[in-house]
Amino acid sequence: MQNHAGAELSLKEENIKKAGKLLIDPDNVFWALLFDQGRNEAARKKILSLYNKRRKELDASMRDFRFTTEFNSVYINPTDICNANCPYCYIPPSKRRSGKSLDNRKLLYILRKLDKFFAPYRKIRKTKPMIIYHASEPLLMKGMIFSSIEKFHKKFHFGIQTNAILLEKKDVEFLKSHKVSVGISLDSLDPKINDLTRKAKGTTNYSRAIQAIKWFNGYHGLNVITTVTKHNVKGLAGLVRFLHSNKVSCVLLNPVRATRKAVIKLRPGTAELTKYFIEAVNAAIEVSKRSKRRIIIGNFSNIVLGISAPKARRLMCDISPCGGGRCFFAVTPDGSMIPCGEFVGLKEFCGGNIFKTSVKKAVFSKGFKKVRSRVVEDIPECDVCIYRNVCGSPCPAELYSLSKDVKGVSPYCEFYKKIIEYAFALIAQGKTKYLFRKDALSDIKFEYSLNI
Amino acid sequence: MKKGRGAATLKKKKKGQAIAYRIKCKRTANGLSHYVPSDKKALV
Repeated sequence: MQNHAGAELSLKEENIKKAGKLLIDPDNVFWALLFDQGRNEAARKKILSLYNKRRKELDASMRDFRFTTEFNSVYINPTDICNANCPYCYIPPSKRRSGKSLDNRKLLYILRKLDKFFAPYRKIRKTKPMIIYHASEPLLMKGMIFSSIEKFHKKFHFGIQTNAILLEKKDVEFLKSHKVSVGISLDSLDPKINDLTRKAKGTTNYSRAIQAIKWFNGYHGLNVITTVTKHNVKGLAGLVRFLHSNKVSCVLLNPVRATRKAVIKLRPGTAELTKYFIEAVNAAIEVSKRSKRRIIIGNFSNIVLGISAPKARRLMCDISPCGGGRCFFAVTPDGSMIPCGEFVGLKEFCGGNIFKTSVKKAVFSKGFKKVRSRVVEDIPECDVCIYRNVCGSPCPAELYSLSKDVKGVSPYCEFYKKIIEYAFALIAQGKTKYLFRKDALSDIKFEYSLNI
Repeated sequence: MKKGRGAATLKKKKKGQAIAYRIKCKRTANGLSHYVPSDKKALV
């Protein structure tokens, strides 16, 4: 890696396998790929001219994107209790066994309070804010949360993350008719491997999740979330093919987050994770090319967006500071407001209790501010990394849980570097169209484009 | 703002020498979530 000659000190150079020579400004993520190893001086001049023309605008845009605090979503955990016992869960096992639950009165109180909190947001934006019912297992409170969706569907978009064990066909119809975003957890196509990490009492999430995917039958708001561990890492490509054949359009292949020390042993090795993750990306491209339907790997496509359309990113984990306590926060069953669900159990990050204090007070609390102040520029290694504003070095909750410091390098640093370089390789090969949702492609516009 | 030719602009020229682009966003990430909602116009 070396500085570009002349006045363009902000542009760094890197040779990337199967992509060419990359020129990149790590601060605003202006990038260009030169295919002849950068020997063509005319092409280089054109790129530098474009960079100089756009630089200030891109700097301002990235600053605004990273440092604006504007909430759009709230995760609500209706209960601590779970009907499964996944070893990597970020909710401590004691809480999952005998934790608290919200009752109907309390949930309605929270939704009314959030409705007031989001009132200024509605005036500015045309879209509704989002409420996501999340961990432990929200369907244990099915009646209560479905009734809240009916009552508040004009005020909020709703989402639900579930292991599908309690999901019935009539529930699927309800969720579809109310346009609820649904995430189903499934770790492997092999029931034995799936059940290693998605343990359930007296039953399995495997057959229920697969049944639910079939019931949803191509529903646009469905995605599958796979937590990648050393157990299932080799089967990712097969899983992607299976999901595509079952009309799932989006899957997240999330490397396991060790927010508890006991989870570290489940992490896949970097080389293995990189190899099989890229194999899964290739499988998604291959099946999408061959059929009219696409499947995208959400967390990889988000990396591609981090390069080609940084402000369009959907996953807020790859941004520094991340979306926790800045774009969304979470409410636990005891009413604690925390920057993100991953901070469950870390009292020092609690912004207050929603039944006692205002949401605004939580937003300006020490814990929320601490997460918002975590920037890659302050993290040794990230501060000199050319990909620092594509990866964001997630996750502060994981790092704090293990080292009591949010300002550390992501345990998946090398994995991120490799998949970012693979994303550039796919950009160079013109394959990115298979990594975005088909509906959006016909409508794409460019801030700038150079193809010489 | 430059209007491109959609997916065609994302494609590398056969004997191309260089590419650089940025896709225009209709919505900023602040209007989105770290969950993946059902938005047909969203790229991801």
